[in-house]
Amino acid sequence: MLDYFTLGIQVALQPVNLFYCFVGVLIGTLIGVLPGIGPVGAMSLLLPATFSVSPVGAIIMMSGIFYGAQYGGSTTSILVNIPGEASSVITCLDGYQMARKGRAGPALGMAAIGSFIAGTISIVGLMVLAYPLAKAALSFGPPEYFVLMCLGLVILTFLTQGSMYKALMMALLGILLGFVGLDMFTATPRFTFGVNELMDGIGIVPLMMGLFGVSEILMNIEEPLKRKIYETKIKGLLPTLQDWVVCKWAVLRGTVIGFFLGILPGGGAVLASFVSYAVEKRVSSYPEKFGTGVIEGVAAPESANNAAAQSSFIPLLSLGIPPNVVMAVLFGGLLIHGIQPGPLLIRNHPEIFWGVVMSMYIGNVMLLALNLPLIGMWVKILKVPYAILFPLILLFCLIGVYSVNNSVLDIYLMILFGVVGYLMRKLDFEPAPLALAYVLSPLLETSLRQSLNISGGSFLIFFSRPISLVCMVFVIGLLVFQIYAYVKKKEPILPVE
Amino acid sequence: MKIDVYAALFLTVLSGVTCILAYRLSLGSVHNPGAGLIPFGVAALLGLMSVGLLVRGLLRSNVGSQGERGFRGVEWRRVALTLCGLLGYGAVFNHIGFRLSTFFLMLLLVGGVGRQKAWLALTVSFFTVLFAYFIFVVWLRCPFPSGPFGI
Repeated sequence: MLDYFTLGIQVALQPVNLFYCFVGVLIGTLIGVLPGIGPVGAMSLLLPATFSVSPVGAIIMMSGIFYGAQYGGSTTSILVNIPGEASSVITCLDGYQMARKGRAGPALGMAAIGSFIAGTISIVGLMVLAYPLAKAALSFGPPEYFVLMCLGLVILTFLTQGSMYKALMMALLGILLGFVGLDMFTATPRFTFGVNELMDGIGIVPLMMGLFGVSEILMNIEEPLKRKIYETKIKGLLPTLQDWVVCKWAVLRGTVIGFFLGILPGGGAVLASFVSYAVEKRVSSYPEKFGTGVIEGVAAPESANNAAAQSSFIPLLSLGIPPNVVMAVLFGGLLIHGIQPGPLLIRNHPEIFWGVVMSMYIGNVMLLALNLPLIGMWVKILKVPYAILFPLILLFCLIGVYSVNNSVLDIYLMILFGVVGYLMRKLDFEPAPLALAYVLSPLLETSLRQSLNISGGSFLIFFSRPISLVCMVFVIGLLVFQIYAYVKKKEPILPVE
Repeated sequence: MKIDVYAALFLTVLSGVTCILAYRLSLGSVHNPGAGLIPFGVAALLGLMSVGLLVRGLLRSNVGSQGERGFRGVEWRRVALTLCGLLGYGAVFNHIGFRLSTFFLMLLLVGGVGRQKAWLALTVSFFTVLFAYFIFVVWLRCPFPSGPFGI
């Protein structure tokens, strides 16, 4: 273990990897600050740029974007009441109120330091848990993998903000999209309509950029483009002793909640921030003050979203199963670089696993330095008119998607998925289950077909092994609950014009 | 709930077509699944759920929904213009080259969609092309097509 630890430090401290780590957290903070493009879009955008980079450098940079975005998102939530990231929405409630009371500095300081503490503790958890989990996962067969992936998808649909029934439908659509291309078992072209460029399937970059980048911009430009920025003065970034006394348990509770919700398939930073805020409000002796500028209302969700961002690497790196969409993009990135995430990753590529983990420590320190002294700069960037910002984001999406295969078809696919994502958001269909299911689709199909081959065509194989049985019971229970809730649910009656 | 009905109809048709296409591939057996069996099963399941959404939408067609509210007050002109710009970019990219197509796209998005003054749109477009050219073509050596006269 100590050898691996040393190896990780050596890899992470290489100048080139330090550079990629810095670039990652810098871009992460930037996209966290800017509403309109999230870590999924940014990681998809930068995926082609990492082709000439070593796999470990690429993964260090993309990981930095993800956890850097969690830091950056809080800045705008607190200062201008605009959440840069979905996981920072809840921070607006108390963070902005603190800023209005002239306590923007302690709010920003607590968000950054709480994030740092949570992130660091979560990385220790990642180191401790990932290795034994990967060892245990070596005994998993196709039935266990199939059921685990089903569980991840079903939990994701269960936790989505919109209709669970629709989320489940989107997951099925995502699986269908994943079938496009050559069948892995028989090499039969499926749903390619004679287009040679589709033989490898629909690219992850056009799909993700369309669903999360282009659609987000279309949503933003359909409204007036002028945004009003409310400015607040920042005085003293360090929280007072009293702030620390009231926040110490909030940070710890946020860390624990975030860590476990990050591991959970389908969970992630957004859910963690909401749950930790709710828990903090419940355990508080003055819950009625939440929403009026209580510092625990900033400390808990900000700690939770960072803890979740780091712990969501556990299922990806140890089981090879991405628990959320961001990890799905990272999963795609690893595959493009010829690295198969899963239990063998730690054994076969220890430099990647331990190098990435150690770079997270360094990245957290860099983020602390980037976020506290440079807050003024991030707020200035937010002042760039959206009318100029969105064409630049669209252009980078176009260039990024074209440069993967030098194919105009990818541009059209991105536009198509942009329109699909836009309509999905309008129609209350969640894009996240579709994206995750699309990434998991080849693995799901392979493990299902292998399981059926092993069992001689009997589906009872999923009920005859202890791990798959337990997961299957959860899957069926959640599905039945979802369908029952959908049938029983009454729609809110809105006036029809 | 009319919106849900349209969405469900689209998904029903899509799943129906997918079922037919998957059936034409080899279904094989449960013991030894062919290329089309699992897509067929997934499409059939999606079709069933779409029909469920359709029925529910028809039964509640007299009430408005969240989705319908999302279509009110939308500036369709901006959305349509942006999409036309993106599609146009794809169409002319290989013919007039990276620099010219990028310049015209930026001009359309900043000036047309963003409604900025002409001089600002021209300046932003020019410097964006310059910046993108040096980053992607000179530095990262992306093989983007050149237009007429090597522009």
